[in-house]
Amino acid sequence: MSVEDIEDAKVILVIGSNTTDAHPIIGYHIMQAVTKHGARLIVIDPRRTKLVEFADVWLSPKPGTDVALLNAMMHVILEEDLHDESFIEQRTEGFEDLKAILPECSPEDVEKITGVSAYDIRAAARLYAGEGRASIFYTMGIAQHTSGTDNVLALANLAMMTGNVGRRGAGVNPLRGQNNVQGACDMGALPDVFTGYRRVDNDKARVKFAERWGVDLSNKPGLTLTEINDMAMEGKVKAIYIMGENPVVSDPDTKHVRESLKKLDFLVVQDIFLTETAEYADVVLPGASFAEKDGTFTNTERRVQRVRKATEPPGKAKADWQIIAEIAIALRYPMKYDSAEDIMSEIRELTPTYAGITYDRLDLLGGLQWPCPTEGHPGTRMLHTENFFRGKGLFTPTRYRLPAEEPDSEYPLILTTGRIAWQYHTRTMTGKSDSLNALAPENFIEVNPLDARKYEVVAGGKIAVVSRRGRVIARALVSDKVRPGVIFMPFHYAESAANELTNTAIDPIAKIPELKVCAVRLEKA
Amino acid sequence: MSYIQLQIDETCIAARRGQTVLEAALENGIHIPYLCHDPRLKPTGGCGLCLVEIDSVVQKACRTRVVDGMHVKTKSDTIVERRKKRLDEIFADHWADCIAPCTLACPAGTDAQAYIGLIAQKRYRDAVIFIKQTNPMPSVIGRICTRPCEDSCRRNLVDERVSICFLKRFVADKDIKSAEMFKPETKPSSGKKVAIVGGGPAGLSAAYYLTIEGHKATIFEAMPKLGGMLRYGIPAYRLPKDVLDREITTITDLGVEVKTNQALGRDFTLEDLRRDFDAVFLGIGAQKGVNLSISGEDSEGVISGVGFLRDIGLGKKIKLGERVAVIGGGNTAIDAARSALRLGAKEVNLIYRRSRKEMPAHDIEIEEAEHEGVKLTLLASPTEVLGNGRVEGLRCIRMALGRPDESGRRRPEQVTGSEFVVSVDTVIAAIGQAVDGSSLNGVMSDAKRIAVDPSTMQSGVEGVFAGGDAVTGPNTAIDAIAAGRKAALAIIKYLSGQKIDLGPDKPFSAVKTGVTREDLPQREVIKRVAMPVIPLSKRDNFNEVELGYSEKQALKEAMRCMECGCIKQNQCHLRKLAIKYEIEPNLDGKSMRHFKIDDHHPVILRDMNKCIRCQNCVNICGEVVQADALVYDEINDQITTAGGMPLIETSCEACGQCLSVCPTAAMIGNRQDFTREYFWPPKVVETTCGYCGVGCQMELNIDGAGKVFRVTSKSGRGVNEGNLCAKGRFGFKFISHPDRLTSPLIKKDGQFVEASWDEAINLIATKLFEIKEAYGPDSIAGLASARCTNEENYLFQKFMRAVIGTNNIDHCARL
Repeated sequence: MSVEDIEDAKVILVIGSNTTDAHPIIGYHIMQAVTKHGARLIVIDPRRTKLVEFADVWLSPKPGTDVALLNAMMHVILEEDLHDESFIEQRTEGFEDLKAILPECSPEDVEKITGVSAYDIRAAARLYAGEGRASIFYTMGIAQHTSGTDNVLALANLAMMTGNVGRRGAGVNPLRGQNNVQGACDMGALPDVFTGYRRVDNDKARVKFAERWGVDLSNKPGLTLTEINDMAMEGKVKAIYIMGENPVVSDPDTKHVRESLKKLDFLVVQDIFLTETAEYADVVLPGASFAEKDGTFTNTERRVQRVRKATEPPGKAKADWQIIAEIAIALRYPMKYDSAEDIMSEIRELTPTYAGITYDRLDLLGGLQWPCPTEGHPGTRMLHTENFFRGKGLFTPTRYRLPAEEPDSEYPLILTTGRIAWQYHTRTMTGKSDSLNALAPENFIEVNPLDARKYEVVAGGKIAVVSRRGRVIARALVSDKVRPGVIFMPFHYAESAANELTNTAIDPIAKIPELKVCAVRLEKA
Repeated sequence: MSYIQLQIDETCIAARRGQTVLEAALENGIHIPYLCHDPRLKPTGGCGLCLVEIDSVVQKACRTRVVDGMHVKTKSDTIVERRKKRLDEIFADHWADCIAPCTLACPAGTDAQAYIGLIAQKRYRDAVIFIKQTNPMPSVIGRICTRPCEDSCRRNLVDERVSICFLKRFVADKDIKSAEMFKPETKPSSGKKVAIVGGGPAGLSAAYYLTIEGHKATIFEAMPKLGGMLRYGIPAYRLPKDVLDREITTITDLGVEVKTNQALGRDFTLEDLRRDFDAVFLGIGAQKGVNLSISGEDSEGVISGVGFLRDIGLGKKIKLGERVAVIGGGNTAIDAARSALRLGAKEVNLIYRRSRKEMPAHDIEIEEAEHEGVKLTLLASPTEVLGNGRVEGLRCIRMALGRPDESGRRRPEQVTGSEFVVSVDTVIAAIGQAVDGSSLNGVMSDAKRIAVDPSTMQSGVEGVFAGGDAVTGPNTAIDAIAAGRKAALAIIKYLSGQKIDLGPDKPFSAVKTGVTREDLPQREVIKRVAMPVIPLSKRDNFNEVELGYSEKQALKEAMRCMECGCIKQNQCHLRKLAIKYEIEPNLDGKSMRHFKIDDHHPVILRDMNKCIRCQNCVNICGEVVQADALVYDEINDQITTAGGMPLIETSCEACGQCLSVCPTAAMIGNRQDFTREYFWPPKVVETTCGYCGVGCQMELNIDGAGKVFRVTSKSGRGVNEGNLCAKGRFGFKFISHPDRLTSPLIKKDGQFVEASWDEAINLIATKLFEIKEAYGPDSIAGLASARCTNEENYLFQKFMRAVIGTNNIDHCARL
């Protein structure tokens, strides 16, 4: 996907993304696609986000029911013959498997699960499938569920059955929440892959890296973030080196994270501030901010772009790559680079998708989208134009499963978390700006007026939210932006941390925690 | 895409069908002036400046589509006239200051707002560097200036003026005493030589700027030491000699040759200099006392003010009587009166022919003189010195003020029969000074002054320049310094063989006239920080009276500056066009609309006085942001907020997109601190935003201290096309935040202790090695970061895999 292609879409489906707050610039593009280029817009979100104002159809499902909803849309598409048979024929396989499960997903049945009327589900399905090029945008509202992988697969099924893959103005597009999530993944900061997603248990790939690095390498995939915490708790992980992350605030169930960090024999935290996580460290190392070092970030459309040093790091602080190299040298491993560009040369050698990306080209062109295999290659604007990575696109039918935690009499409400426009992540950066703090000084809990009456919530007053894991106080914002039975909280504020409440239950495949659904009750503060 | 051909002036270009003439011109590097064009917005033609002539018809280039074979003229006389007219229209309703009133009032044009801002940021050396761009003697001027800047300080409307001069003295004194005293870099020698006659403020200033440029300056000074009136006219209790010596040394140390006891006419002639040097600067001052022209003036005990002060400056023993009359009301008279007291006179009577209000001396000086015991006899004039060859008394006559004379002051007239006698034994005449032009044939206008062309500073004789009191008659030190610099700039041009064109003395500035306190944003009354002085009982000597601000006092006083000058004065497109088209500022504030500055919003400051109603802000807020917080009120022809509500209560998202399209400073970032660096071009570095995954291209603006003080973007650039969100635009403070980690920390007994890199790295290496040995590599895990660069994430996973030997590496992609 490329951002500039958004305006080519005839229909845009935004699901689980508060785009105008979390990705304002993409929000501008989507709004302009609607207002200037006549695109039709479907928004699927339990909250009435700003984009709903521009939507032809807004579906507001109960959090955690996306698979059911998407299956029902596919049910309608199949029923009304809106699918793209030639695309399915030529580019995909497994459609029969999908077909097999759809009869049980009628909009009328699904209405009971999602709370979205069958009429609206049909309208959304017809709009998505009936107008030609349709693109899908999603973020953590889709991914942060125990059914996160299923949600994404369901979206892929929806796009493939309508032929909305591999052409301009179509596709299934995740919007990346952090500046370099894409790059960190591309670079192999994952337990199972090297750079360019070559698996560590693939002998050919491993040998290539082992030869270049001059050491033998383990073929055993490592632990994920959540598993690292669990293993630390069990005493099996003894030391952690954290670079530029603040899991005490950003991970679900912060109590669990704190406990596991305390169990460690040794913790190194490298950051630009003494974060909540750094407080637990044995050694803290001062890194450089993005304004103080050279390098590259890779954005949500796989575009590699330059980060340029504009000023000196404060005091003794150093660029993170310099620090890593010094520790490696102290451990008798020769890791010597003169510049970030030097490191990029090595990345290019070992990563075919990055091989054509040089600093000179980036300076000249502004950015390059990988795959970019040679220095003559213009970069790749769109993936899957002729083939999927595995060859043919595989339909993987998904069935609706309940979220890990459902509301009950003790915890009758669903808490869902998200972002606001003026704060970012755990506020280590935005929290330092007087201006932004003046705009968004403290946390709030969005409560529907019906629930406010039911639970005697005073608008603007302090109120406590309690889950099986914690209790957090914030100011009540009574608003019909959320549907009844659901409350919303931003997760930015450490002093009123939504993640003290959230569930650590994870998606079995992607290991993503279920931050978007947990059961809570409201109490007097 | 189909291309067509058209001609713009003499250039043939290819343009895409559907483009406007303006877009086609800009794409081909042809500049057509405009204020409101922005590729993100539909053209509105609001500014009315992108006029071009097509087939003799004047049209707006932004509203005209290209046509095959079109011939566009961008520079015809008609167009220039029309653009000027349009600019005049805009300035007819532009109640604003480009440049702060204090700066405009300074004869040297020293930007007080800028250096006070630097002082407030504790950037003292930068402040001095800045001051010395226009004034090489801030330690001296910081003591003795007549302070026209403070007279026009707008803080006078709120409470009291900002002590601009004291702040300058503070920072200059601090610099001169510091180990890293600022010394300007001098260019390599040009081989050109300039003779400077007179080592006073004008000559020293000229020498400073000529030397920086690489020219060899030689100062010829008639007296034993440099300084001119600063040394021989201003008593030490106001300007201590060591302060003067120190500051003169900062100039001569650059490589100025100094020849003292060398008098023009006595030791050399102007012809000698013209023969031996490439240019000559005459800064000889006006050092000759003016006679009283009354009878008995030749009596013993009648002396001239300048002569008296000079003798003190030379350290001569002076025999002074007990009762002294000083005639005159200027600074020399006051200096003479206060000096006489210090030399033991019992009674000092200052006689001045007009009233106190008309006294040319500086107010504070008059107050201090009275405070010390000088008696003022106002509206009186001497008519005869009494005595027999020795002063015994002074006959005076009362005066009354009549009609104003050509100087604008009311003319004093004698009151018949009001004569009286003052009993005195010494009379000091300080009624004026004149130029000694006895050896300056050909360059004197008349007996009084040297004549120069004010635009070139050159006299009637080629290569001979002049400035200071010698040209203006007795004037202030800062005027002399300004003249010396201006002459130096002229000489630099002259020596390079260029036409001497120094441009206007004052740069273009819109001027906000008729400001009242009500027009200013709410300001609490904060009294100025008083200058510490030595007590009266200790003033029987020539020790300096004013002691100077402490750092704490200076910082407190600096915060009182209201920063009246426009922060976009050097980036404003409107001002650039005003300069280009030589627009005269409109001084008729009364006929302009007056808007109150709205600074209630946390990130946006609105000064609608500076608005040109191009509506770019309304359009970007509506078309791109879809917030519709701003609207154009057609009836009143002004931009207002939706429903007229305070901006913060509208649907405003505080993204600041409006700031990015405002061609003037009607909408700017609202910041409460002094990080404004409008005066030095910032270092601008293009980079990728560090917040979300969109990867917006942005520009970090770095001030002289290396701090990011603003984030901007280039319209049309990157995936964001020049748009930025609130976080990207305003969320940069963390970069230079005081809480940043600046040293490795090691926890000892539960407390973090600062450590060296070696200590920290060795500890980490040892611990990781031990744990790996004891429990195996998989007992160690690493978390990389979606915040860090690709290069760093690559290196981190390489570290975990190759150095530690585990695949336990992850990051929070899932959160």
